[in-house]
Amino acid sequence: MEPFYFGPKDQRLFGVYHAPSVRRDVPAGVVLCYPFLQEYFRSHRAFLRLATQLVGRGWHVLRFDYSGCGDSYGDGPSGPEAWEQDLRLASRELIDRAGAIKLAWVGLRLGAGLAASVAPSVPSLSRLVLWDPIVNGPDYLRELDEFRHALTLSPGTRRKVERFGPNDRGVGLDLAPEVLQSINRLDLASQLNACADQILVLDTQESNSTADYARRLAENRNVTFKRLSERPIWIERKRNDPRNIKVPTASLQAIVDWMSGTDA
Amino acid sequence: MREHTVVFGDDSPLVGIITEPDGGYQENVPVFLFLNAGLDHRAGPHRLYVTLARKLAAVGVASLRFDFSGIGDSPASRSLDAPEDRGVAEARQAMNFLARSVRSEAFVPLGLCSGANVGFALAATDRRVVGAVLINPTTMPAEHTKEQSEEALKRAQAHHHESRLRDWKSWTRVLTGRSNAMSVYRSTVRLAGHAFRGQSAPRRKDVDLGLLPELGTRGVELLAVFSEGDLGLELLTTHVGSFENLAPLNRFQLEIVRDTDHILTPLHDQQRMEALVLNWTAQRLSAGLARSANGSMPVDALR
Repeated sequence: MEPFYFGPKDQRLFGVYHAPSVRRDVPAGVVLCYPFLQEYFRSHRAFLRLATQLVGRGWHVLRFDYSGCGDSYGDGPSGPEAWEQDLRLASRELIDRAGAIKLAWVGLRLGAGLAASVAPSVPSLSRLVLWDPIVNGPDYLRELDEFRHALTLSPGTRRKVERFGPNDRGVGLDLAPEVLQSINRLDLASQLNACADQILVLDTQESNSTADYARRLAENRNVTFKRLSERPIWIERKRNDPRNIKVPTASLQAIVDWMSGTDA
Repeated sequence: MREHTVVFGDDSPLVGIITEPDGGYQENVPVFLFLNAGLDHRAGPHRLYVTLARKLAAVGVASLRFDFSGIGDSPASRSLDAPEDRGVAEARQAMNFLARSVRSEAFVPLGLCSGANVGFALAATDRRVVGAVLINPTTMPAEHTKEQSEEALKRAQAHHHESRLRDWKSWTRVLTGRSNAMSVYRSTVRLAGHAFRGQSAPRRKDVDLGLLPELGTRGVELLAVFSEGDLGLELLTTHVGSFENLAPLNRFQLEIVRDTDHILTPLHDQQRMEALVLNWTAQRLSAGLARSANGSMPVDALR
């Protein structure tokens, strides 16, 4: 595992490269696309575990933080357009570093939405995993609003969020209006342009919109739709409760198996 | 400001990021160490540590934020020590690493929750620590009884209940028929259950609030920031009685933030925290350093 910074000097991105522990005939790399905002923090451990499992199947893996997120440069979430550039940059970095011929992406939630949006501009994508993708931006923003009334915010804290922070959606991060507008424009169902040689849509929340999206996408793409039931790791209740850092083992296994071509 | 990754550690690799000011390291300016808050990785809750590290760098102060073993990007250690003890040991490894690599001799641990506990224990046991920022620590005096700890926990829970029951919005819904008193009560109890889930009365005796006077004598500056009603504040209250009793401890600065949660979710409170740390660094730490280190502190660089 090798942590490093890459990208332009004034907008460097933090990444962690995981070298494969077994050799494949054709070098292949996978870029992991985190979800955003508070969901990023909740899923960090799961992504580390996923990277560890994928290198055991011969994949070169790159985890990275979008600009303005995690340890990457930038003062706050900069929005999907900038993050699309970040994803392209990370993919180039992995190809250069690993000499990867085949490239895959695994995205969770808004990270999956981002991956699906950018995929058409990357002709070499062999596999694409959309893990509980955010199909509809406005729905996601409604979820954020519900999160504002999350269980750990007292009435006084909630009032403070509403009173003092025009960019404060109660998730602890500064969300500029243009970021919200960008998210609001996300509509995978109407675009249906996600493309790769093979696509896995993984739904762990029995989401009708995800199932419908996968069904419509499958009309023109090679799509595997897999549904299983697992607790949503990206929802935060109490940060210091180890039970909320649980790794979604069934989801990870499903992804690793599909990536390895060993799924049932 | 420039950031670069580092990997260090005696027993297992610890992953961290050094944030350097544009002018590089300044002699006699301590290096901040950001310590994991609970199980959150080194960016800190709401990325608070990243923001603070960069703002400190802007005024000439370097820092290292890193993951304890088994948290964030650092692999689990084979050590069988308790997590708190391991945390203190690994924070020392971080200081040793910085002493070798950038020749820093003075450090300021900054942590939230369990990170604050580690920071306090580090300050108490390592003379290279010249100051510490403790955000919602759950420290307690060594002579504290289990009953006193449980009493503090009950008071924290009572504060939580009271704040919810004072919520006019809830009662407006009751009065307008959109809710009923029983549902407000149930909601209050349920939310308290979530707020304090996994939190029990502390049992550890080695993070001893009774050391505060000794730390002051040693010249260690402490900034303690508490969310109103937080368990740590109730523990402190149990120990000192009235806050006025803290007045003789002139190296101990206490700040209480009202209407916030344990991890400072409102942006307004995060900004206040940043300002507190920057001001404290400029005003208090410089004087302490001048006394404890050779030469004088370049105060202007910190203002």
